[in-house]
Amino acid sequence: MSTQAPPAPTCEVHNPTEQWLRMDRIPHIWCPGCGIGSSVNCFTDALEKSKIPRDNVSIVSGIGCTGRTAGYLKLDSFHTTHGRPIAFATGLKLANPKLKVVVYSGDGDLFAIGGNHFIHAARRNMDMTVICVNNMTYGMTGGQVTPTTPLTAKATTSPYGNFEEPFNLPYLAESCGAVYVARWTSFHVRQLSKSIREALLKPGFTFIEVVAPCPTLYARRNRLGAGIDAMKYYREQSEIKNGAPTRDVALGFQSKIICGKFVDTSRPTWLEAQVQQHRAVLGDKFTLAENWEGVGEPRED
Amino acid sequence: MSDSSVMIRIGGEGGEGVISTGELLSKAASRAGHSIMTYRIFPAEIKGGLAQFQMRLSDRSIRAIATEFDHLMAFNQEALDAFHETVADGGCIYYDPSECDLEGMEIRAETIPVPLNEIAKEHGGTNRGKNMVALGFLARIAGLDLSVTRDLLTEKFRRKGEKILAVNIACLEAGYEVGAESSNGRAVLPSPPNGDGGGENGRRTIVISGNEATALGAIAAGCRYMAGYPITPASSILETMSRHLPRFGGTVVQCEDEIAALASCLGASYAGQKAMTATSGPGLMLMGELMTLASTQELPVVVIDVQRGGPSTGLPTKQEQSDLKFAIYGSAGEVPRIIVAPASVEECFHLTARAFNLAERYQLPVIVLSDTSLAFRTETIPEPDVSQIVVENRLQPTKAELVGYQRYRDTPTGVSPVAIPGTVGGIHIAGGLEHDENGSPCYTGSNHNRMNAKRFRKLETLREDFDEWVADFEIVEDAALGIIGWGSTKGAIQEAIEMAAERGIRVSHFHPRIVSPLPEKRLRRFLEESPIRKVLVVEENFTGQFSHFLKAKFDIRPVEVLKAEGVPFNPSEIFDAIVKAEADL
Ligand SMILES: Cc1ncc(C[n+]2csc(CCOP(=O)(O)OP(=O)(O)O)c2C)c(N)n1
Ligand code: SF4
Ligand SMILES: [Mg+2]
Repeated sequence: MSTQAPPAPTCEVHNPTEQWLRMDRIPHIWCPGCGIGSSVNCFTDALEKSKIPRDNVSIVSGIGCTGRTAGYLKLDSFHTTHGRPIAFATGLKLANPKLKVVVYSGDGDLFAIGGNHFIHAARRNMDMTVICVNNMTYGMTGGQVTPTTPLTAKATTSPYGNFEEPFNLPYLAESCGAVYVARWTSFHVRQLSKSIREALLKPGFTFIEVVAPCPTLYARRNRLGAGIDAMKYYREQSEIKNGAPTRDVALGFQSKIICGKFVDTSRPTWLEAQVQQHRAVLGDKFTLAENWEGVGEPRED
Repeated sequence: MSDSSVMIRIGGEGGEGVISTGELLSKAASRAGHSIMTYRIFPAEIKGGLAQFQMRLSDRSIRAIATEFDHLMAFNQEALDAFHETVADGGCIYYDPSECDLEGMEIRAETIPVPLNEIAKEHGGTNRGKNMVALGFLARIAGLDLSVTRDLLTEKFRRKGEKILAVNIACLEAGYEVGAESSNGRAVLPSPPNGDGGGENGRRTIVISGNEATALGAIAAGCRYMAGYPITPASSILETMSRHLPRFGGTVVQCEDEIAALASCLGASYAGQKAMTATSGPGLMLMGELMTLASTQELPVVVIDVQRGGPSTGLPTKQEQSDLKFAIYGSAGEVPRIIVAPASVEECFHLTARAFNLAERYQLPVIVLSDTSLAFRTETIPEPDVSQIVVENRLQPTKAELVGYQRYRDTPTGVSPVAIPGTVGGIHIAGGLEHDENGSPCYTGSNHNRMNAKRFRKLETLREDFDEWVADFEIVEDAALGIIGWGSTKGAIQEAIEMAAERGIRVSHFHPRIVSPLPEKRLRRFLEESPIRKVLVVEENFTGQFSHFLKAKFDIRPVEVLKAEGVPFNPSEIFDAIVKAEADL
C-alpha cells in the first residue's frame, strides 16, 4: 500500500493539475495505483478546457475515498455526509443557478445509501454533472460489497462470493431520465476528459461512470494484481461502442467493458420546467427569483 | 510498569505493516500462554498517516490497555516523534536508522538502532519484509520462543508459495538474532505458567476483538438475522456475521443504508426472528426513525452502536463515548428503550447475549453502546461456555388468549403476549400510529395516556427484575470519594483506583452495565448509604453526558472528569483527578 517517498525533484517541475489542487492538502490519501487520482486529472483537464470560470464551479462529494476529491480541489467544495451529495447539490444549484454544480463520489455513496437521491435527481433532470468513480467496492471502510460489485467477486461482506445482481449504472441513469450518459475506465484518459467537458457544458442531469481500480482492497481480495494489471485489463477488455443501448452494457466479473457515450439527448431541466409551468399558470403574478434571469428562456442546444 | 507485564508499542506509516507485525506478535504471545491486550489506532484513510499497535502481555489477566511502554519500535520518524515520550523510565526505543534522525531530539529512554529496511533487503531484495524483521526482533525482546513465531508465519504464508514463505522466515530469523543481541542483560517476561492455550483454572482461553465477541455473543443468544451497512468501527461485526451466520442457518444482508438495515430487522423480528444491526454514530442517527417505531410497535431488536468520535462524520477511527444522549433520548415522541454498555471484550460477548434476552422479554429495542476502544482491542478471555448462556424468547399467547386476541393488552407488567404472524387467531396490526389494545389506530387522550403508561411500565418491571449483573460496584470502607463510569473506561478506572490505594486514598466505584434505565436503587445505596462525600463521573466525551443524566435523577454535583481527544483514558489521568478531588475534599 505504501512505498518510500520519491526522491526530491532536482528542479521545479509542476503538474498542470496543480493549479486546481489545494497543494497544502497534498500528499493525498489515495493508494498507489488507485484509479481515483487519474479520474481527477481528467476532471481538471476538462474543467480547464471547458473555459467555465473557476469561481462559477462548485464541487460536492459524499464520504469515501472518492469523496475526498472535493477537499483536494481548489474550488468551492462541499464535503457532505455519506450518500447525500446529490441532495446538497440540488439545493446549491437551485439557490444559485449560475453555478456549475458537480457531484464527485463513489459507487457506494451514490448508489447504495444515496441511490434514492440519484434516481430522483435524474428524474427531475436537475442541472448537475454527476461523476461516479466505480471501483466496485467500499474503499474507505475496508472493502465491503457494493451495489456494483460483479457477481462472484469477493468482498469482506461477501466472503463466499457476491450473489446479488449488481446495477448496470448507465442503464439505471438512462431509465431515470439522465440526458447525458457515458462510461470510461481510468485508462481512457482522453476520452474521459472529453466526456466530462461535454457533460459540464450540457444543461440537465449528466452522468459519467468511471470504472477504476482499487488495487488495495478489491483487486487484492480477488487476486487481480496491482494497478498496472488493471490498466492491462482495461486496455485489452474494453470496447468502445458509442451509442450502445445501455441495457447491453452490464459489467461482469473481469468481463468485457463496453465504454463510450451512450446517451446525449435533451429535455427541460427542473428549473426550466418549473419556471415555464408557473409562468403559464400564474402569468403576471409569477416572480422570477432574483438570480434566475435567463432561466426558462429558449436555449440553443 | 508492573513487574508481571510487558508493554510494547509499534508505530509507523499506515500500510507499512505495523498492524500485521503487532497482530502476529500478539498471536505468538498468546500461543505461548500469555494473557494479552492489544489496541490499535490507524488513520481513517486506508493509506498513509500514523498507525500504531500496542500490546500488553502478562502472565496474569489484564484490565486496561497500556499507556506507558517498556519497548517502542519506531518504523519511521513520525512514530518516533509521536511516541518517544510514552516510553517508561528504564524502557527502550528501537528505531530504523534509515528512517529516523535522532539529532536534536531529547529522548529520555535508551535508544537502539535496528536497521529494519537494510536487513529486509539483505534477505528479500526489497524492504517489504521489514515488518517480519521487526516481528522477529520483538518476539525475542518479549522472550518468546522462535519456533512458536516461526510456526505461525508458516501457517500464514504457506498458501503464498515456498518463495514468499522462505523470505519471510529469513527476515523473521534475522530479526530474532538481532533481538538476541539487543536484549542481552535486559529483563524479559518470565515464561508463562500455562503454555499452549490452557488458561486460568484449566479453561481454554481465546484471543478476540470486541467486535468479534459482540458478533459471537449475538449468535450464542440465538440471533439468526443481521442486516447492516458498513461503517467504521462497526463493520467487522457485519463481516464476522457474514462469515459465520451461513453456517448456523442464519441470514445476513448488507443493506443499501442504515434505515433499510434496521427496517429489515424489524420485519424479521415481526416474523419472530431474533434480529440485530450494528452501526456507529452517523448510522445510529439514521436509525432514529426505526428505533422509535420499534418501541411503539413493541418489537424486540438489538442495535449495536460502536461509538466513534463525532459530531457528524467526525473522527471515524477514534475513541469517544458521545452517543449516549442520542441513544437515550433521540426519538420523535417518548419511547422506552434499554441501553447496555459493555466494559471489556468479554462483556461484549455476554452483554450482547443479554441484550437479546432483554429485547425478547420486554419487547423493545435494546441498544448496546460499545466503542472504538473495545471494537479494535483484542484480549485474551476465557472461552465462553455457550451451554451456560440462557436464551429467552418473547412471551407467546396461550390458546385462551388467542380467542379475541389483543396484541397490546394492558397488563400489570406492561408486557403483552405477542403472536407471530401465521399463528391461528393471532392476526393483528403492528403500526406506528398510536393504537389501542387491539392495535387499531386510536387518538383519544385517555388511550394515549394508557398506552404510554403500558409501554413505560415495562421499564418498571425491568427495574424490579434487576439482578446482580446490572451494575458492578464496590463500596470501599471509609472511602470519601466515589467514581461513577460507564462502558469501556472501567479497566482504566480500576487501575487508577489501585494506584490511589497505594497512596492511601480510598475510592469506591460504580459501573452500571445497564445504563438506562439506571439501576437507581443500587446507585442510591452507593451515593446515599455510603460515606462518599464527593463523586467523580468519568467519561470520554466533551459535555459530560452521563453526568447530566445522573444530575437529572440525583441531587449530586459531581466532578466531571472528561476526555474527548480520540484516545481512551490513561489510568494516570484518572488518578490525577482522584488526587485533586482528595485534596479538595
Ligand atoms: C451514515 C453513514 N454510514 C456509513 C458510513 C461509512 N462509510 C464511509 S465511506 C463509505 C463507503 C464508501 O464507498 P464508496 O462510496 O464506493 O467510495 P470509495 O471509498 O470506494 O471511493 C461508508 C460506508 C458513513 N460515513 N456514514
Ligand atoms: S482503498 Fe482503494 S479506493 Fe481507497 S485509495 Fe486505496 S486503492 Fe483507492
Ligand atoms: Mg467505491
